[in-house]
Amino acid sequence: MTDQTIIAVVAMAGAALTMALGAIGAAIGESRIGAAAMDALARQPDEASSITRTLFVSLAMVESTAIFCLVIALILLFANPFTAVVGG
Amino acid sequence: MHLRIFGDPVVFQIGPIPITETMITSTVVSMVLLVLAVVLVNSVRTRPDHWISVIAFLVVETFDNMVKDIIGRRHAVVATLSASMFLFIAACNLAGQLPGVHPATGSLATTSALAAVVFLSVPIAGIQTNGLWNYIKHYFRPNPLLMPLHVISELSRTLALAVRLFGNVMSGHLVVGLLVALAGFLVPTPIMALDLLIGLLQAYIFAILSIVYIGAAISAGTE
Amino acid sequence: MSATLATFLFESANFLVLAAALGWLFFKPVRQALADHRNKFEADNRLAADKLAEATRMQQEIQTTKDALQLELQEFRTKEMELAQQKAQQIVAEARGQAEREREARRREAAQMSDTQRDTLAEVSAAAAADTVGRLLTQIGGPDLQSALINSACVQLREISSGEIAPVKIESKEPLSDDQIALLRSALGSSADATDFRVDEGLGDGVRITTGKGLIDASVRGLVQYASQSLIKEMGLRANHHNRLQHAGDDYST
Repeated sequence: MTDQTIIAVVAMAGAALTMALGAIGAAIGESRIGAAAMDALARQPDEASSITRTLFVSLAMVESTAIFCLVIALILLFANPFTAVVGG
Repeated sequence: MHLRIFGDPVVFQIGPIPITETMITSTVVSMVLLVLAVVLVNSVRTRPDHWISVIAFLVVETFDNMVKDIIGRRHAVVATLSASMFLFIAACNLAGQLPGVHPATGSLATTSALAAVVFLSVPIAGIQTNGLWNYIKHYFRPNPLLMPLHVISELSRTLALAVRLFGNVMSGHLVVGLLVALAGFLVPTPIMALDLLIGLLQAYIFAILSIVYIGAAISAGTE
Repeated sequence: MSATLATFLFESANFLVLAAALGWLFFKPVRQALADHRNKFEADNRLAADKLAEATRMQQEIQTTKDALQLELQEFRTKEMELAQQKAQQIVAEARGQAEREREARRREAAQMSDTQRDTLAEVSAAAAADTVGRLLTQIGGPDLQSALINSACVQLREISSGEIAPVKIESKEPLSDDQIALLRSALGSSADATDFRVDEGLGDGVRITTGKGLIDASVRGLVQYASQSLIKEMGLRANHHNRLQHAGDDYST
């Protein structure tokens, strides 16, 4: 087992772990945001446009963490600075 | 197949300046947008009751109202900037659905450029509205110790803007590419539809966030 | 120059140029057109509001005029009613007054009629009474009556002849006898010398003595006259006091 192989294995495991944990956190956060937005919409239907806009912005904010995780995972997999060979 | 995630392939060089594929795509998109704008304005001038004119009115009025809702007053420059951002990003994302075209917003350089524009617009708008001293003072509120946090927040949100857009568009494009490579015909269609939705949504979020950031700077001195 | 940096710079410049071009070519004219539309709409709205206000004002005016007219009509009606009532009252009062006057006239007429009747009646009855008394005295007549009358005259003479009563004039139907003259002279007392004796055929039995102090009539004619006069007087007095005839007139008029 060469160093490159170890690095590749660790990078793959790290990418999987990053994606999994990041997705879990983002999913929980987004579900809570959605529930809160539903509650607010049911309470104040007149404020629907404002609530919807805030909902989208909040979803994007939270989802951006998952996207960060995805980017990190992709970097680990495809643009790993420690591997000599870029996979593809 | 070739997966393109980071970096832009250079098509040709003009002197010392490399011309990348992203540059060409965004230029074409900009030209299309300008042509569309001219057509719409022509329609507004000649046939104000036509549905094409109504689309133009709708776009302008929607963004003006959005700016008014978020900032608290009408601001033509911010509205123009954010609306241009929305139109450009949405057009790039939609263009990514065309076969053989890599979306310009799928390049980290493009999204960083857009985020940098927002990042620079924030202090410009704040200083223009509140004056230099008032704008600088707001970094030291409520406590001078929080100044590094303000700066880090501004930097990180700019980074978040760039990476969010880039990650969404690029991952969507990547997934479609993988599905095309694995399953072929018609299977990636639902994912492409989702990609359309996400592309429009990200453009909307980018525009909204730019308005929010610039609006926060505009109303910073009046707190 | 790296490809990424070149792309970054180009994209920034591209976006700024695009935003400026869109703002100049697209947003500015469209905003202008929107503002024009809005202004036109607002002007139309204001015009409509003005027209609505004018219509409301006109309606109010009409309402006011209607109210005033109704009020005037009401007033006019009330006034007319009052006038009519007054006129009716006046007519009723006039009619009542006329009726009153007529009744009064009729009553007066009736009273007058009854007065005349009464006078006539009194006269007639007095005449009848006098006639009866005269006839009675004539039937009684003769020397006894003559002497009785002279005696009563003497009694009266004696009552008034305490002082000077001359001149004295004594009238009789036929010349008095000496006894009678002596009786009278004694009654006259001191004034007896200036006594003038005369004869009056219409006098009937008895004597009439005219003195300086008064008239003593003890003749049949004088008695008859006195009786009739006193009867008439008595009847007039009675009628005035008891108003019997007037009551009769009232009953007639109502």
